[in-house]
Amino acid sequence: MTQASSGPLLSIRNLTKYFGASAALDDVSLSVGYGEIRGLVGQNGSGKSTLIKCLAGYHSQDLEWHLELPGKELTRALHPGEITAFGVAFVHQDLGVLGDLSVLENLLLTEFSNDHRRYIGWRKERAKAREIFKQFGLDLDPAAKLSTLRPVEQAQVAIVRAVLQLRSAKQADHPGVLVLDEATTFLDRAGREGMYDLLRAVASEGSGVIFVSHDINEVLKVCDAVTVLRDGRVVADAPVSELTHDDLVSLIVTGKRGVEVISRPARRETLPAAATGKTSLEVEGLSGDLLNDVSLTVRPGEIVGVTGIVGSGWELVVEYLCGARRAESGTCRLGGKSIDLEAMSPDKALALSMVYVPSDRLREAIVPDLSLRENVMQPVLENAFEKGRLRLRRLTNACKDVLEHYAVVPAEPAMPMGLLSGGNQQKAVLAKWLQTDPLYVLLNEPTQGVDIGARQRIYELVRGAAARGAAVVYASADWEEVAGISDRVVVISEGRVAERIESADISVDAIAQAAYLGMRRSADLSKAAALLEDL
Amino acid sequence: MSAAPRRTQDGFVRRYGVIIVWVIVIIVFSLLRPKTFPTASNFETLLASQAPLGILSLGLLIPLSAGDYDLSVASVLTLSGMIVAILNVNHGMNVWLAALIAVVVGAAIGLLNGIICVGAGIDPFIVTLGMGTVVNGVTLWISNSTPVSGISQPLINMVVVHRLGGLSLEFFYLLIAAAIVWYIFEYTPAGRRILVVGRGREVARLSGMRVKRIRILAFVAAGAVGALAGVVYVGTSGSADPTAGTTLLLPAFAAVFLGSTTISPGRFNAWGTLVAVYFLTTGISGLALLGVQTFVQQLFYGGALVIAVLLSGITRRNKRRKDASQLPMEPQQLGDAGKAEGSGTPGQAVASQSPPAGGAVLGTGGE
Repeated sequence: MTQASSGPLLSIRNLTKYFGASAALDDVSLSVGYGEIRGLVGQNGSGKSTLIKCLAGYHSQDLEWHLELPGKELTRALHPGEITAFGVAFVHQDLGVLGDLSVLENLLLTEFSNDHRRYIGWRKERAKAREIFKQFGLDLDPAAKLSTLRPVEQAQVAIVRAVLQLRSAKQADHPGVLVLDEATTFLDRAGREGMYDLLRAVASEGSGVIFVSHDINEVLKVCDAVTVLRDGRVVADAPVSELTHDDLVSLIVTGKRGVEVISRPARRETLPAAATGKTSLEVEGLSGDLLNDVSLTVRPGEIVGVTGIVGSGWELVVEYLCGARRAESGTCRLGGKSIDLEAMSPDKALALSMVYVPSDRLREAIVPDLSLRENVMQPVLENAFEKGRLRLRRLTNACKDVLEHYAVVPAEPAMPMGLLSGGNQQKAVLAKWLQTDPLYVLLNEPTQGVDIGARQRIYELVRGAAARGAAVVYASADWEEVAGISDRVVVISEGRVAERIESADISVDAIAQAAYLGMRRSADLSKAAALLEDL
Repeated sequence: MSAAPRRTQDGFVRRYGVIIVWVIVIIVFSLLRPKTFPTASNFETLLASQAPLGILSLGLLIPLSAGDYDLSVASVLTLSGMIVAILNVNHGMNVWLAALIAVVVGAAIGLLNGIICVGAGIDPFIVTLGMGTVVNGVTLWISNSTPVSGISQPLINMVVVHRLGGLSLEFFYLLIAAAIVWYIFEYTPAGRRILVVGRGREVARLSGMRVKRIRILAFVAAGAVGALAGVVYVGTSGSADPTAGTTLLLPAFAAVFLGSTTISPGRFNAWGTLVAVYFLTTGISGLALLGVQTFVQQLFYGGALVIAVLLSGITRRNKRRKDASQLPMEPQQLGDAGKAEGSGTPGQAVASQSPPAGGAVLGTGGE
């Protein structure tokens, strides 16, 4: 039931934004029509975030543009939050939801901040919430505590809240525009389907959607049209029907079509000769939470992928191994030493030369306020401690070398970590651990929220670590990535090892089959069948 | 994306702002009370008499850096002084042995704080508030609520009587204490670890740091240093008052937070704390010379704490903004950094139960 209205719902024309002398955005135009889902893609630093911030009113200086909404035309910069009144709502990466509050309270958060009500009729609000969930085909309980919801459901709540915001926008008599600023980044790939359905439902009501994402498959799947930014300019503006996956990758990376760019690691034909004197990582009987009796062996120089569908517990394997969480049982043999996994902790793991790169970068891997030097050099501080004190200058120089070696941009030891782009932060996290030449490397979603260019570099770094003899466990929900980088793949289904795929047989299809068919062997036949249909 | 020049004039003012204001305060009081304020004896008193508060503040700085409040330090100071007095005066114990026992008791209280907060995972704010009150009660109990005077001369000699360059030795104890704390946080891996624990507990844990041990040790250090301040305190006055030390809690917090806006802005730091202690006491002493009433002291310390926290929040935000301006292409990450520690949009309150990072108490907004 797309609106009959013609013309764009929101249109930005000739947007130019300077930071000092350099133009972050140069003559950029973007429009969204009624019921259209418009993708906005580009590498970190391409200007997508700047564009979103201009819309949100966070940039007021050195900005020129023509902004048009139905019945509204502006050439001045906006104040923070001003655009909300014109019928544009945002869902950001962190979602802005509160885990301790109920779903309903979360939905009402923005109303609380805008309204000056004296009284809240909870029963009425609950009924209203149920109704809107029903309308969008969501099965959510308004009374449930938000933190008990799955991540994708939390994201749905954030989106529904934004839709409510659009509906209550006082100065807008149009269906509004929803802006999703990388809101899917932290969602499990398999869980994102629920998001896409919701977005389509929102668009079918006539609202426009601006969908900012790193994930090309996702953009191709959910968007009607896509705008590609590169170095602050629009390099493409086309319906997705005219674009292939390779086109988009090429446009994002090079600004042109038809340039071959490898967005996924290519299969490696031969294993590097295992470094002598290094030993395998052998895990036996690992159980805890969802996981049930998982065993795996990783030889030196080998990359073993661990994956599965969302909720199967694949990510627990690395979390238990490094002691980030306590397993209920299981042993791990490292070079003849047998360790009880119930008693594993990150400091013990580190003492055994086992390093871990967590998936939640912002909360678990970096301290955004501290400098790159303090973040990256932390595991090797002792090396710079000489004659009773830390040699700070030497530490800084060593840090610069490490940053350059691992292609972290900018290679500025004094720069606060939080100011780097996601890809560079992740490279810095890898640099932090790989500089110690670890024997065992555990990676949990190492390319999450990372742009294509940086992904390449991360694959190289992981391969490099393996080539130096490390045993690498690569846990990821991205099957293409796992299929590309792994020498062997362990597929987890419902907490058990469903299949071990050996090198020659690895493919996305093989992983998918194992992940979904694993369920058939267990009791839930219908569930597996339903999921296979989706495939 | 090359780095812009870092030491701008603006940076200088920010870095040394408190010192500049301190100098202005000194000049103003000197002009107002030219006969009494700018005198050698006044400055000597000013510098030396604040050693107990200074040492106490340095002790407090340690758990604050590790991300934990300790509201019991001033009570530990009072108890420690009382222990020295009772053992020395009432039981005739050697004063140095008594001092040693007092420091051990202080460390034990810190250990208890640490075990309850870290081991049982209870909010330090509440635990140490309760512990401080318990300690106050114990102090009143063992002293029968009356001051004990008559401390052995050797301690008094070593604290106030002996002088070096016209200043009591206690001033130099304070300098040494500040140097040690500075050294630990600036030049040892252990100090750097405390910093990471304070800013990102989960990051620290997953990086293989023994977060619990580090936090507990920070409490122990605060207890021991607080007790040491108590020893210097009885050395200064020659007697122990069962309530006197408690009034130092607020000035100590004010000093540490105000200190985090200077010398090494955005971070709790020893020299900054020292500067702040002297800034605050100069203000108090000048006001006293002007003849204002004693309630002004409370207004001044309380006001200074609130302003210090406000300033340290602004310092942090400005620093972030300035750093961001060096990275013109990626301002979004700036916002992310803000969000990560929880501020701005409603969602940010999720993380805002986080402990005090250097001056982050205000949880300054993403933008």
